[in-house]
Amino acid sequence: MEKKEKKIVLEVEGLKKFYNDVKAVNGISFKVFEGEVFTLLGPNGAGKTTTLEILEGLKKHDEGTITLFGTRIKTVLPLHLKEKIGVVLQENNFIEHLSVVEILKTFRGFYSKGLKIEEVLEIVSLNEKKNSKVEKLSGGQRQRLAIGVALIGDPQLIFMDEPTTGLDPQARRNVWELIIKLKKTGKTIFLTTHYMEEAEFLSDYIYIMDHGKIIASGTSQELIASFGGKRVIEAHMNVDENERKELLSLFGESAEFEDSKVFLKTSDLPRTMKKLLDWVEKKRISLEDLIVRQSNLEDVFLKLTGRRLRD
Amino acid sequence: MKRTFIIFKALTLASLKSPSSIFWMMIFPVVLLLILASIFSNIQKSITVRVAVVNESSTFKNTNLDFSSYMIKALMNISHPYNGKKPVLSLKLGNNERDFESFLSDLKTEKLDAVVLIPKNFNAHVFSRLSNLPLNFYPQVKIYTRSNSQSSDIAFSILSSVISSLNKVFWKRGGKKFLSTRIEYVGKGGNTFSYIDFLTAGIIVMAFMTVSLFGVTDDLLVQREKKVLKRFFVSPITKSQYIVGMSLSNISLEIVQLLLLLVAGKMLGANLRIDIFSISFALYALIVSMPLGFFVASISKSANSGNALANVFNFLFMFLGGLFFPISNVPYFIKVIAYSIPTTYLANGLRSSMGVSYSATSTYLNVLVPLIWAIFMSVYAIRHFKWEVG
Amino acid sequence: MKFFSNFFALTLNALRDKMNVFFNVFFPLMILIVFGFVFSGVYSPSNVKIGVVGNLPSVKGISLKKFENIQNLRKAIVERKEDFGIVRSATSLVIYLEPSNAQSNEYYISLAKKISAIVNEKMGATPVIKVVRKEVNFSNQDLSYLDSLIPGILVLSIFSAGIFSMTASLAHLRDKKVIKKLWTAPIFKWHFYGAFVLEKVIETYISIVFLLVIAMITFGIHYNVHWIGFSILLLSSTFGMMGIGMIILLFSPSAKVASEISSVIYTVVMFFSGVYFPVEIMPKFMQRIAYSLPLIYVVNAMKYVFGLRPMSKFNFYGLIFIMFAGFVLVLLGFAKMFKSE
Repeated sequence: MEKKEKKIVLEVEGLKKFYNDVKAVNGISFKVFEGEVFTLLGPNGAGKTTTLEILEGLKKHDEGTITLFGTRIKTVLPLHLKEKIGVVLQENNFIEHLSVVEILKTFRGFYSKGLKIEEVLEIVSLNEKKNSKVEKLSGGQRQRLAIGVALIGDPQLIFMDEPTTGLDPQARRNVWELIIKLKKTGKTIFLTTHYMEEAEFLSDYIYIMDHGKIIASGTSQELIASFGGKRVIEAHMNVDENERKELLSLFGESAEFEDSKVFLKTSDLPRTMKKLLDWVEKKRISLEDLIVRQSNLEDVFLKLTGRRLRD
Repeated sequence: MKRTFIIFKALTLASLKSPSSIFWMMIFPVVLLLILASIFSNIQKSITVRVAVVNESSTFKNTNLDFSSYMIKALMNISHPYNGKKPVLSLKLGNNERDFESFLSDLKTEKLDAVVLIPKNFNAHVFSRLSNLPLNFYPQVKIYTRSNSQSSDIAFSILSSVISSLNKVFWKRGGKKFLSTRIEYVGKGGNTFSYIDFLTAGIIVMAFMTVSLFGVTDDLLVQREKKVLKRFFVSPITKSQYIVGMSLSNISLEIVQLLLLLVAGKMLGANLRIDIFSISFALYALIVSMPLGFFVASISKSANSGNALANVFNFLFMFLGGLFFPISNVPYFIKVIAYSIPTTYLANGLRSSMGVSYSATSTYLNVLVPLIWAIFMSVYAIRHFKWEVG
Repeated sequence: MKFFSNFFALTLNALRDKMNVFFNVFFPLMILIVFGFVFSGVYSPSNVKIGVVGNLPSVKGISLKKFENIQNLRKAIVERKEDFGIVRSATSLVIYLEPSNAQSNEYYISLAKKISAIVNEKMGATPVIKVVRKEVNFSNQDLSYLDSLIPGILVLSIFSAGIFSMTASLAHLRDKKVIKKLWTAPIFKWHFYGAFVLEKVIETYISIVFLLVIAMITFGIHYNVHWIGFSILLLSSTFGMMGIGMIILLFSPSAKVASEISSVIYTVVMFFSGVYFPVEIMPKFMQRIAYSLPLIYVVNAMKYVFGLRPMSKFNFYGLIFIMFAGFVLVLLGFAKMFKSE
């Protein structure tokens, strides 16, 4: 990757945040380069939102350093830096009884320079709804409005906290396309998600976070590749403790178990498949289902933590 | 039956665990009773009114014809504590124009409740009157009071009583026939009436009404908006089971509320007759108040608008329903409203059954009018309440 | 620009919020009108209904209804068809009162005594000493009970608008995370809080003036209002009440709790404000409570600007200063302590 030629927009080192005894963010470090879509991937409670809110200036960090656009952030995010960022929170609510246009105008008034209202409406495809009150918008439309509000100051860096949670598949797709569109205009996007497909589809670089720490990082291909195998055989069958041990000795570290499923990572599909089916036949185990698929980040996370992203 | 009971249990538990429910249902009515009882019962006890007397009379001073001094002595007698009670009035004395101007200014600025002016030739004029000399004028005492002031009214009442007593002494000595006045209180309590009796019944009715308006309405509408109701009805429970369970929950909490208020009233010295009739009527009042909440919920589109409507009903029913003070001297249309609303009848009925006062409305109406309201509101609610938003 | 962006947004929001308009305008108006009509007849003799038994003279301005016997009269009083009764016997005049009319009975007694004096005069027992009652008041105007009630009602409206603007409106914005969203934009806190306060102050000012005008038209009252003093008092007391609202909000975890605490405080303080019950008829301990709360002073100041009551300039401007200063102090603490979520 030619990251070294790109400008660093955001650098975080040893970031920590405590709530009494709970280490919500426990020493994370990363760099975000200009024009990237950078993703913090992790399950609920990993510390993603806390991290984001610290970077957005809503919370203060306890330890570590944050450098945003070359400025070291000590406590509060200074106003001139807020002019350069746009934020889509996990929950976005605006003053009620105002229309889409009125909300955009309100926020536009906060920035010394920015985009025109019509431009933003065009980008987020809300032209037809510009005079509608917020409460009349669907979930997807509200999220697009939230993105529009984040864009109104023509920011260089946009933070998005779980931008598609709670949206239907079509709305989610729309938001993805919007993010891709924004990336093409040169914007840097920092997003958090617990959806593996989202991270895979959108991200240039991914940091996987769990229990306040970064447990892995890389592009999605790097992450998948570094954790053994391009393909996964998913066998749905019930195996007891002894049978699990047998499988482990047969397939080594590429075998993972979850409830009544066995996952086998492999870069040599035919051989692994034959080995598995021979064993199943020998043991006379009932095989409910057999799926062959590509490895994904879910598998990576499972390998690293023993849990699924969605748990 | 079982499902109804489960709903009853769940909602009752939820209310008992909610600090705001406990406060509004149990604590607030008792506190309100305390406050109002303290204020109103104090009116009946002796308030010490502040009076100033300017005695400008100069004739017959220090003789037995110094009638002004008799008057002042009489006032001084009641400006001392008596039998451990507070004095009826506190007295300031003056004797010239300057004192008068100063007292008058104090009266206007609410530092005094009344100013008595005994004019210069008062004693001479009284003597002349008593001697039956033909006079075109009367000895006069001017009593200055502040307009629209209750304490001034009380002061005037006391002062004119004193002067009236003096006049009676003159009449007696002059062998004149006259009628003396005395006060009697009508009503069941008669002279032993205490305002707390009146209030306790009123606050009981208020408590039932507010639980219905703010408890039932709010619960139903909020639960509807949050889709709690929707979730219930995808389970094997019918709407009527839910309503019955909810009603039973509110009724049981209100029975506790009723007991608390009765105990509080008794502790504050209320003279209430608690027997099968009064308890029955109280329970009746409780039950017929419940449909009000369902009715308001059925005409409201949202929890917010329901809350607004509940406030309107609450205010009107409370202040025009004779709960805290009797409605008198009101324009006709206000009277019409007052006699249309159910709380008027419930309060009258409860007071009557508790032996506090005779009911201004017949027992028949006290039962019938709230019943008609309850039936109408129930039917409307059953037909029109939307169980889901939109 | 940032300040005005917030200000316009909040103004639009307030105007379009039906509940806000209802509680700030229509509900207080309804209270005013109902109270106006309920209390307007309290001290007027022509509105008092007196039942009599026996031969009693008619009195100018007072209507007497004759009853056949005492039982009927007592029944009528109990049923509130008559406010009180007078029965003439050979040696006495008995005044029958309904004991629950605690607030009006003193007035009824004075009317009865007037009639009694006339009766005695007709019997030849003219009082040796005549009593002449003269009513005075600070404004030297002929005012009814309602006229002196209205300034107090306005103050209660200011009080409720002030505290509920914080505990309902602002808390609602916080709970909905609208404020949190605003903090991600390049604005200072005062851009928002300042705009919020200004919008609420203007809203309260307009609604109170509207209430006053409606009251004056409906009840035909003419006050000698000192409009500048009124405006200053209205503004400062709105600020002061908002300060109280802020304190409530700081101790409330949610909008619902804040609203409930405000409702309780409003209902209780209402009784101690001296508006519906004069403070001097309250027990001493309650008088002490009343005088430790700010409302009674604001009510007195409002009566002062309406020309109903005296107040020294020092006390008036002192109160104004305390309201403003109190607000500023609370605002500073509030801005520091108020969590935006």
